[in-house]
Amino acid sequence: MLGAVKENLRNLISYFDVIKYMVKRDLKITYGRYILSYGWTLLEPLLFTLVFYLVFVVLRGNPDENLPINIMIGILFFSCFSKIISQGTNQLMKNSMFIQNTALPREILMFKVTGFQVIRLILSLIIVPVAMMLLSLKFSISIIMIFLAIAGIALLAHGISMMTSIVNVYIPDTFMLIDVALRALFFLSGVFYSASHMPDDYLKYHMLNPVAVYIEIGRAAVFNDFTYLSSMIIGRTLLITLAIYFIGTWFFMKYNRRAVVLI
Amino acid sequence: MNKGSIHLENVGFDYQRHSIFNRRKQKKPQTLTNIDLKIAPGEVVGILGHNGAGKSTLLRLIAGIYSPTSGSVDTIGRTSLLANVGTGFQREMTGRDNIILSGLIQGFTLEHVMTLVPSISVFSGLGQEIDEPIRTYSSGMRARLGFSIIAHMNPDIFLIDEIFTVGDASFREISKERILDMVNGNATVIIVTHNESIVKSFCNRVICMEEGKIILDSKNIDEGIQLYLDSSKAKDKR
Repeated sequence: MLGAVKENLRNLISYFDVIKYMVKRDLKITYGRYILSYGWTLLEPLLFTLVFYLVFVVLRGNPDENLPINIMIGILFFSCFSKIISQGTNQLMKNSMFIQNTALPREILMFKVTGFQVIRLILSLIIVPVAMMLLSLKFSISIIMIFLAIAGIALLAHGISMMTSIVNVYIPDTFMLIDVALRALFFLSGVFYSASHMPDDYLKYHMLNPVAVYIEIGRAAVFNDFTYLSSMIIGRTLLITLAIYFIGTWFFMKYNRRAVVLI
Repeated sequence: MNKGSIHLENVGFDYQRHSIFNRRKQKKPQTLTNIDLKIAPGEVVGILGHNGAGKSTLLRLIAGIYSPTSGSVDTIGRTSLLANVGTGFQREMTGRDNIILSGLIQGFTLEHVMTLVPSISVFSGLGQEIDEPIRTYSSGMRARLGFSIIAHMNPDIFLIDEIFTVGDASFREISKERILDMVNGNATVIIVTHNESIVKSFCNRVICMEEGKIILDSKNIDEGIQLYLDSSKAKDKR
């Protein structure tokens, strides 16, 4: 397994320029055609936050003014996670002609998807300091924990997508199954609620979900409130993430040469 | 072995070994068996054969896209495959972006690839279309661009799969000149085709394939073409 991960990382380094170029092109293709261009990465979450503020704080009279930011962080992190998985799952099939005719290590396409979504998440998160200033929240050193949350959720999604991309070649229904699973996970990962809203009896189960933990880390980093995040919970989540990344990479490296013949 | 050398020893390739469901197994039943092949730098080899003979699979094995199920494939030097009118392109990207991407994949630096872009653009004859997405190109334009890119990257081994069927006569002529230049620089070229006139005009060695096996490997181009034509007639009668 270590050999597969080593080869994977070696290819990441060797083809880093290719990945960088593909991510840049994808960003240009995605945002270049709009008048506001990259402004959409900020405007989209900003508009969402305003809507959440109107619905949850103004209309429903919720006294928690931080709720819109909580929800926005949940949506941005979950969106990054789900897009890496859904696009990654379909990556080999979508690029079948390119793969069949180019001797490019297939994992480069997977890195491209993850890289693109991580950059998109980081660009969108620029809105967080703006929102913090608007809500008069103090900045603290804990904000750097947001990078742990970004790296963790990206690595977790990358590991899963490495596995599902191969399975999808053999079983095309995988893509639909993943779609359903992601929708279910959306409601189970605390996107619209945080750990503070969980009944005590269910909290420990909630914190077994690595996606929910990374969303909580993102929120805790902004609000400097780690009440529900012990070092044990964070450590366990990182271990689960690393295990999934290692297994996913090993699985991909073992089977991608066989799978590519069938795409 | 020198740069541009290719050595296949007892190579077998079985699509079924890669499958787990019957539905997939039936899709691509062809298999390569016991392929032994040595190609020296500077040779221009034409591979003739009917559909399903295993020509394209053989090319993908040499390109390192597929792995053999048995035996070994050894190549020395940079290998480039140009197949099926530029299907190795990213369709949403422009021609210019695909030039840069191909160069980076081949291991060139961005700066070096940028210096090649104008020359590739002129050679391909695409003009301002170079900044349009590949999905808007005709098959002939894709073939010209694909050939131009690889010809400018100077690979040690250049594998060509059925691209001359879409190009016009002038494209064939400049392609032939460029291939001869490459061969004089000691590159190895393998051309897979159904078109015997391409083999006659480009190649100095011919290989005929049938049902996953090499049935003829000869420097006598006419002999190879005759065998291919005879087997075509026999197949038509069947």
